[in-house]
Amino acid sequence: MRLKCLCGNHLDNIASPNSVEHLLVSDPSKEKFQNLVDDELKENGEIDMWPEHWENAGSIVVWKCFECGRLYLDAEGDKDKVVVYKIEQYGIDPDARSPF
Amino acid sequence: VLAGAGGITANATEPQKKSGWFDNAMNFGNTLVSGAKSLGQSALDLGSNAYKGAANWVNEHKADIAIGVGIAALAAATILTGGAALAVAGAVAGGAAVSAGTVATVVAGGAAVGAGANLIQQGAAIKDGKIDPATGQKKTDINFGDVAMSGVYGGALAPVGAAALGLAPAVVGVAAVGGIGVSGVNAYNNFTGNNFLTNNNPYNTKNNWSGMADIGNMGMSALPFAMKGGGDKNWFTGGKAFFGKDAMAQTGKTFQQAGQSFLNAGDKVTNFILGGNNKFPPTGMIPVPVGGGMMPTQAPNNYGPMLGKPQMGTTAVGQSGNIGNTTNNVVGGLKNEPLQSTSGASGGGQQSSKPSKGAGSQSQGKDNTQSNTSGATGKTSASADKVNEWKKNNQITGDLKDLQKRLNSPDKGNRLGAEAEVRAYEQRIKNGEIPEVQGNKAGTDFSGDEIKARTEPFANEKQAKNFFADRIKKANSQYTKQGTTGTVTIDLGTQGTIDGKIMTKDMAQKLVQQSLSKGNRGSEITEVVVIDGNGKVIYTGKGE
Repeated sequence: MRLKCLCGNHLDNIASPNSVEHLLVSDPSKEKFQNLVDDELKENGEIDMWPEHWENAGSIVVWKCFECGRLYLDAEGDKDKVVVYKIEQYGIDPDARSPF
Repeated sequence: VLAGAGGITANATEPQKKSGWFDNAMNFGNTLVSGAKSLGQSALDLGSNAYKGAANWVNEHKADIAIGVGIAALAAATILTGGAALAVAGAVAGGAAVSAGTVATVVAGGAAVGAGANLIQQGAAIKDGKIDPATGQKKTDINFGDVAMSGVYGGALAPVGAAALGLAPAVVGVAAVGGIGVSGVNAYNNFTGNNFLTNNNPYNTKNNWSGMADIGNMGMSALPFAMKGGGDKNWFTGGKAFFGKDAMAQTGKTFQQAGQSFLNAGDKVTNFILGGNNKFPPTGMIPVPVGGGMMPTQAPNNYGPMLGKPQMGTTAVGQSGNIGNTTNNVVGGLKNEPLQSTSGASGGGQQSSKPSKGAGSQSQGKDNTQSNTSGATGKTSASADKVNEWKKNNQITGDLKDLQKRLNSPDKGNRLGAEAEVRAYEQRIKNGEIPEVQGNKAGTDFSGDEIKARTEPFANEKQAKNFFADRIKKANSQYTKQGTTGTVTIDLGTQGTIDGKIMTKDMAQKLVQQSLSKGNRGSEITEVVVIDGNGKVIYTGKGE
């Protein structure tokens, strides 16, 4: 699959592992993913369903442009619903969050 | 949690795409930094000379002179810089060049305002017999180090404000109106000793010194957050820095801090002028002083004096990067719900599916974690030479420029993917076909064939198994969405080893069989072809 970034850069997932494909996993999805993996491990003794577990847990495929850093949420899904994020800034105000 | 080869990283890089606006902004930023450094040196000289010579004379006249000079400086600066500041603002807004002289005038005016405001404050305090909070005694002397520091910050602040006015006149205008209004209240308090609105005792309690300085700063720049001092000093709140013995003793140190602040400020000003990421404070809010309490109680260590953090009493002038609905979907893992399309544009929450054209929109967040020398050296690869040869002989069509670019990409995955494509083209050319490079066209890599390549050798059999399962599923998903069927070619390139052992036909067959045995991954796959880096077929079939 190929995608032309808004910056003009060509992105694809032909080769893997690559720097383009990422998975976004929410906290609830993370727990669901853990349960799916644990269940399969308990049943079969090993995990063969990694792709399905990521998918069924609700993770979102995110493509990142290695030139401009834009993120394309659900990049492999419906074109009309892909959300594009552009870098807004680096670093945050020291008071924007608790120290650690 | 972000999982991926390189992680979601955001590495700052130099902007690569330049425009007239960019060049002008860069020139302006450079000029500003130079001006700021020059001003810093002038401030050093001023402080030094003041202590050596002029101090004695001033000492005899003190309050009246200070007030008179301060007022004159304010008036002169207002007249002097009014036009110049507008020129800077207009030039930045219009993308025109800003002359060094104009910037210098604005800087000088800002310095005069800052110094003048400080002189008035100190003079008024002496004249009124106010108590120096630092010593507990009546204030009797003018602290010229503080005067100079106020000038330094006023000078640094002024062009930023002017530039901001040019970039976002409405936003800054709101801040300016609010700021000047509050400054007026503070000025009234300072001159009369009344506690109008602020309910603070001028001169002796927190907030009092922000008033007059507010006038200078707000009048010049409408950006009040530069009111905080350099380094670990808080020059305005509490007034300690104005009177205290410690401030006198640490003048040298403070000037050093001021110098560093200027360097930091120069960077921030440059970022600011360049637009993009740091045009406004992180939340898209411009601080407006409220009730004289605008100053931070302590200056943060890593913020320059100009683009400080939003403080109490801020006025929201825009929501930056509102991604509320999208975020909810992501966090909730509700993948199937509609995702709101927002740009995440900074400053004002403008919704657009198009990238902003301003500087900073390009070439940021570059991730070269997978770079190697091939892409970095700019040398054409053997694959690129092949493509050139095919092009010359009209053996290939399509977006060759894009393919050549990818073959020389600094990104390893991008480059190896292109090389796998070239091997596929080569096979087709050998078969007498004239393949078309599809570039960014939608669909599978070839009609009825999806290419999946490997960028690293397999550490163990399980890793290979997972890779085959994942890539075959991806290809299957592609065919499913298209409503077609076809083959998937797994090109191992030079990475066709498992724990150092070359993958054999039996090993490949087993991997394919295992991958297709679960998850309905091969529903649209007619055949899996496993090849090596020479295009040699290792295995073909569905694992039977």
